[in-house]
Amino acid sequence: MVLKGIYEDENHRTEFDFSYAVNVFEPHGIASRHSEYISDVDFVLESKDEIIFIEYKNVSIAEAHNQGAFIEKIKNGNLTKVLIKKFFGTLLIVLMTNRNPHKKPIVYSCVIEGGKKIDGVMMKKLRNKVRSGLPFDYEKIRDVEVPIIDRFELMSISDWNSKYSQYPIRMK
Amino acid sequence: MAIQNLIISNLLGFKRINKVIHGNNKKANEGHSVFNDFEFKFEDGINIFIGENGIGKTSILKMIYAATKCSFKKNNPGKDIRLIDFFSYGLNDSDLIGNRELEDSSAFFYISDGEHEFRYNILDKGVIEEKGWVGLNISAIYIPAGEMLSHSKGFLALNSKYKLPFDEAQIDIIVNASLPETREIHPCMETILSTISEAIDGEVIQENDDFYVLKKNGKKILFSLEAEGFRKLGLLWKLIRNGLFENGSILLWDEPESNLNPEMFSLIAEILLALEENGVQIFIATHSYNLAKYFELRRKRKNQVVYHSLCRSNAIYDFAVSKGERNMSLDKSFYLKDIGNNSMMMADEALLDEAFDKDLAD
Repeated sequence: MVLKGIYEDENHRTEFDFSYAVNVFEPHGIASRHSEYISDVDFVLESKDEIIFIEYKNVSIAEAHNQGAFIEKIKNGNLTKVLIKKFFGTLLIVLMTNRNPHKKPIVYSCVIEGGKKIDGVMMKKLRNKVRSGLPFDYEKIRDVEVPIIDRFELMSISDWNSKYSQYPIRMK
Repeated sequence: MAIQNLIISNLLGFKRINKVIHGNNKKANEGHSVFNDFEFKFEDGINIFIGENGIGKTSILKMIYAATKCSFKKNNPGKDIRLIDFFSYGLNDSDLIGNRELEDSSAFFYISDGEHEFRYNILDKGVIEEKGWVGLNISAIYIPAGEMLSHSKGFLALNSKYKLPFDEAQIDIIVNASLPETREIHPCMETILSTISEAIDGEVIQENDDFYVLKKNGKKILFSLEAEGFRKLGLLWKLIRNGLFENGSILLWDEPESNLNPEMFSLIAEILLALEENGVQIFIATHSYNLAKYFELRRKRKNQVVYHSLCRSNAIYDFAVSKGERNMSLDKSFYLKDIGNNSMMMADEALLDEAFDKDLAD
């Protein structure tokens, strides 16, 4: 039995302990209706001060050939596009469902374990590329009245657990 | 034959640490001293040294090279061949590379292939001890970071008469490149040669002591007029063409990336991986994350690639050679990601962080 506030990834290999979150929302139910057009992140977590879009990818537990495919996705830019699209799709869903009525700042957090070959430099290169495609300048537009994105971060599980120790991610 | 071990003790930057080990009772005067030497365990394939400037990567390559030179009886090691000449030009005093600060005053490097041993005691005129080493005839090539073939005109004749301001490793590369080409080329080397030939758009020839790149259109470009990156590849082509990389030989290459356009790094990695597949043990020292990473990404299951990281330890030892001095720590890993305190990657990451932060500020 899964406890309240405890979530699992689809492979049941990772556990997300969000029991101390104000609210957690899995947007996939809505996005699946138009999955060809809308991508979404795994979780939208509301903390006391922020709304955190959490996208989780763990290739280190996958087969070796999948790790190769993952590197190829980084190289050809597809992963960058996917992560950017997931942000936009989730933002649309959050706005449609009025999940941020208090206009808390939005943080997009990608937690990635890319396997042995994905080192810190590659993670930071990916981070910078994704960041350049996110709408940081939208809030400067006069007619935009809702928070769009305040911060983007791309990190490993261990970095996540250091930074967000109240919402630990655990490998099962 | 492959070099398996290198132990360095109290030599150049590799200073012995006199650690005081305490028992249960931690009173300082009840401890006993343990000397820590630096030990490297190598792989038969490609060994990549990374670490900041001045930490000793080049010295390690030179130690291995000097030891291989002493594996030839004809070199009369210790008499005709002076090992300190491999470290720098004109060294007359071994004390300059050894450290006398410790009480026992020993300074040496030790190299072994697992069966045969070689030890060079640097201090006190340099004493060589060996077990089955002399006579092994280990074929090794050392490619220095600085390009040498442009200076080849009359170099060897001058060198035989005068003391030139070059160390032995720098002189040897001209000697090796000047050797005649082999009658036949091993089929696997043919592929490598044609790969390099494609990159430099020709082949390397030597005429009257001068090296040229003979371009495919028939034009001869004097080495000193050729782009330095192409000279580097051209040198490798010539060494392979001269039949110097046989199964069981050793290649030591200091900073292959210097003066090379980064787009060539993958080619260098491919060439060295191909040489390794043909039984050449390779040691390189590099500052380039991109080059080092290509080895990780391009290696196949059969390739052995390992990283040896040298970094200044964060620990400041009370009982180090000089009190308060930071000593070195070594790390070995098959993946760059697993190396802690990796200065090469930290520099790249710092740049990316700055770009990220700057982007946010704009």
